[in-house]
Amino acid sequence: MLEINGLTIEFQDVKPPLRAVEDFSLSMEPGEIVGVVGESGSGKTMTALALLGLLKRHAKITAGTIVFKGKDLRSLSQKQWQAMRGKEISMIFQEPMTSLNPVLTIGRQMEESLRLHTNLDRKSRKARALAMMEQVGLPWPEKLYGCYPHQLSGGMRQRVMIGAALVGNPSLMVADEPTTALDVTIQAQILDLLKEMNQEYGTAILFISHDLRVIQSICSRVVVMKQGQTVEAGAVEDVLANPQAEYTRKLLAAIPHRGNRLRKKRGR
Amino acid sequence: MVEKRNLIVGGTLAAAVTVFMLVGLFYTPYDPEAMDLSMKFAPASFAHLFGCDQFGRDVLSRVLQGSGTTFLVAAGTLCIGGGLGTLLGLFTGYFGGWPDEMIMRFNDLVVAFPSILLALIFISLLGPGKYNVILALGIVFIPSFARIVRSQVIVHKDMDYVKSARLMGAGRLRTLFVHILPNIRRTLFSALAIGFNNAVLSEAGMSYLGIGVQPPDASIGRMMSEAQAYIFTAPWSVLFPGAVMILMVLGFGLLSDGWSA
Repeated sequence: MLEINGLTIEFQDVKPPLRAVEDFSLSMEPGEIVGVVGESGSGKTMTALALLGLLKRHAKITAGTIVFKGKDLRSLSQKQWQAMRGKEISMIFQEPMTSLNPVLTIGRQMEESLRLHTNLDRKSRKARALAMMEQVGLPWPEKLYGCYPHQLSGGMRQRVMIGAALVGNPSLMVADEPTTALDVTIQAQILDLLKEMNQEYGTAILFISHDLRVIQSICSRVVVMKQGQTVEAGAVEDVLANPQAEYTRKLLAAIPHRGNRLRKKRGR
Repeated sequence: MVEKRNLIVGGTLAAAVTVFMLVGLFYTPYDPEAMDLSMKFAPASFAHLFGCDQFGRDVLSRVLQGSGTTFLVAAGTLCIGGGLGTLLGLFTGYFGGWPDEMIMRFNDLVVAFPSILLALIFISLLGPGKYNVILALGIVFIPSFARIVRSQVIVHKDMDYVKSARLMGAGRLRTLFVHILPNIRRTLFSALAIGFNNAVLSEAGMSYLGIGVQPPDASIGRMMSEAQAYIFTAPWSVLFPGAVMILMVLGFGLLSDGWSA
């Protein structure tokens, strides 16, 4: 479904140009959940933005191909991109507190992609939005429909974001650190929700995170990135059980386990 | 609490002045232009609540009509200046690049001139009169609105919610008008209220200089400029128009304060 080959992204406003992503390759099947893991600044988000054609002006794709459902995404016009975003590919972000428009109601924002991509009338849009709100586990959808984002908690807002991203039934959703800003219990709930949505709608998810534990709990395959380069890629169990690269081993070691923090402090 | 009080007091004053102006559109106790020399400088009485001016015209009737003119000029100025300024600010702020630089530097150029002087230049090109004053002031007011809106758009355009709108497939124009514009409405409203005040004062200033509204049309500034010679013989002919203008400016000023908080 998605085939990224040798993707290279450069910041061209500095000299010499700075490579943010180098020779990145990835293929995804429909309904698959693939993880991209790496530290901050390793090029994860740049890759995601390139997938949606939303790179900033000074960042350019200089090499490689992105083919989505047989279409070369690099050659899309602005109009074609608009038809693609929200309908075929959607994305959710890390910060649920700022990702929603503060002056539009929840219902209005749930419906945005329906407004843009379908000819549904007001009533059926509302019905779809309410059904989706129910699906993503928002309590009292009827009541929340007319609420504003500031009246909701972070976890609820992230549910709204997920619902809004999925209401148009896209085949691919990019989730850029969707649980990082949430506390651990809510994190688990959101991960469960993503898994559930993946099974229910068959939406493939490209899951970006710096947290290997989160990746482990949700993804089937993983790509490990460091400073724009792919360090290691493969099935999650293999990579975690038998990491080939030094960097992956370090990432694994960085996961806090019960008791191992003390041991490290003593220098053992 | 203070903001809320500002909003209430300002709203009441602004509403009262607006009602006063609206009444003036349909009803004045006397013909505002009818002269009656027997009543020259007549002080306030039950027949003439605000007294009479140097031609024996009823000051209340003239203030009623004049506030309408002043209102019209201020509102027209806002439509032109606020409307075009907002559009310019939205586009330059959102798209940036060299058109933004050019338009904003031109803006700086316009702002560098004293606004009354600039309006004077336009009037000398267009000729005096109500509608030319509106046009001149409107053009002079564009840069301030463009700047305010532009700075707000720049703040908002990199926020996540704008990015999510784009990710949903919203086009640039839709993002700009449906998603960003409603978010800066607070700032815009208070800018409009302040702009209204400035327009009222500028109109009064221009009429006072004799290049604004032309006689026999009444406008508040015009009345004050005509009556200043008689300020000691007939203080009411200048006090009442002045009081109405103060209430108008105070009302909209407080309203803007209350809004922006």
